[in-house]
Amino acid sequence: MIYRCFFSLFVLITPLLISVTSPASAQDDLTPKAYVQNLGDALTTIFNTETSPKHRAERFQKVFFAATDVQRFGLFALGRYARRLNREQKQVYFSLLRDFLTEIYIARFSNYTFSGQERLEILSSRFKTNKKNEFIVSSRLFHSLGKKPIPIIWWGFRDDNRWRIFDLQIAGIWLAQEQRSQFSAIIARNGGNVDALLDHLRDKINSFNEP
Amino acid sequence: MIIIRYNHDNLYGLSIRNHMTMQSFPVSLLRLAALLLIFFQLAGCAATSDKLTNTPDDFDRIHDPLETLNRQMLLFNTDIDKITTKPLAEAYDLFVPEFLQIGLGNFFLFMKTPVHIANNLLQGKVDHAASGVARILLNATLGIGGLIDVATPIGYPAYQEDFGQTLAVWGVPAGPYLILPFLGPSNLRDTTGRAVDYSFNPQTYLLYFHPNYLGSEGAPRLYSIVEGIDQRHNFLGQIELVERGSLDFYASLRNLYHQNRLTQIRDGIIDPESLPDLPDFSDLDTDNDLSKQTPPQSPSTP
Repeated sequence: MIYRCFFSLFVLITPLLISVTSPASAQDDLTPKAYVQNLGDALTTIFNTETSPKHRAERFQKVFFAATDVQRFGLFALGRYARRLNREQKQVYFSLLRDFLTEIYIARFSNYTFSGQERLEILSSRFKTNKKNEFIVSSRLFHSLGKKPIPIIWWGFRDDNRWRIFDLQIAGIWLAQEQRSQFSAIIARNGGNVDALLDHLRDKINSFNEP
Repeated sequence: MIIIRYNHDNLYGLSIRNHMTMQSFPVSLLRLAALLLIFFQLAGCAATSDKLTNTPDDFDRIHDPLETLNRQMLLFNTDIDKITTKPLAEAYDLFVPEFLQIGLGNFFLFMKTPVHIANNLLQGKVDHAASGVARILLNATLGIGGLIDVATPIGYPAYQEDFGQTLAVWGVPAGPYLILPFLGPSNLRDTTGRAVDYSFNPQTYLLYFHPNYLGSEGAPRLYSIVEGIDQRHNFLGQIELVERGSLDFYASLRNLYHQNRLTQIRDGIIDPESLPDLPDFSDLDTDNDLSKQTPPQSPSTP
């Protein structure tokens, strides 16, 4: 029973909710609540109108890289090894990370059956009291009739008049943290060698393309 | 992750079922108490900082001194799953009608309600415990012995609490991370909780005093098997997806377990102020900001 809820939600919804966006030019006057609601609306529109898993994944790729602070996400995922990468390793890492995340989307999209009734409801939002540019928005995703909505917490910030998402907690699971646990573990098990992580990323990306 | 039910015959060395008599029962309880005491002492010695913040820094605190052994156990569990539990769950999914699957799921949840009630009370959640009582009354009667969940739609949801969560609420640290044979991820605190929940379960006592209460001595064993299959069935395809998408399945599973338990302990409530500040990498090279690049094409997209 422990995993009954969180595994299904994590696996199925992860790629959906890390990746929503709206045009930066229209963000100036938004509140965090309105920003996330707009993103949610854009997201659920894709859920409810796009029938091809491949096209759905491609549309999410676009919003993912636009709405998420992937730079911060990727460095955070390296844990205490983030500052050990030289310039060349960093370039390779981000290139591989991009492909890795893309492949995960496609794999997970292809395994999720959309009901056509996905809808995001915002429950509350607030800025952190000690960091006025960081916000937390609580929401829940209704994904099909008769099933419990999925709780989602958005952790983002506003920087240079642009809203961005750093991490999401979906059904109790912080996504960046989950990636970090793996990346750090691989580097640690290889004596702090960051190249080992790069090799793992390459192998994993190649494995996605195997029949 | 493997989900197979407790081996009722031998739980942590407590050989109890069918061998227990009225005289030996208190002795075993003493042994259980002694075992718990040892567990708590060990947990205290191996205390991890288990603040219930559920923040992105929490995973750094997972205490895993047995990682080598745990990784071997995960391989073992995965192999067992592939040849037993998973095929059975696939057959269950294929041949058991959906309405029956739902009914069995409701029934298994119904049978755990006394455990949930006890733990809600131990955590001071009287209203949640009352909801559990209402669920028993409603689902046992209108719900045909628990097969139909009539309580949730009318405002009595299941508040599932276990003794591992109760211990956490009481301030007991998680202790070292464990992969249990057949049972999967846990930690010292949650493993202890399993043992105590076993004693909360009315089925345990029915087994002691009326081993034939389900019609035959084999029936309880069958019950446990079906329950395990039902639970594994709930994750068909999903565990494989996590495994396929993971660079390090063990590390991923460990983190998922840890985060999920923190969320359960906190009843899903998170205090924004408990979050740390966003990590700052402004001193590092930022030439590779992917958010400023053209969205990539999928390597697998023709």
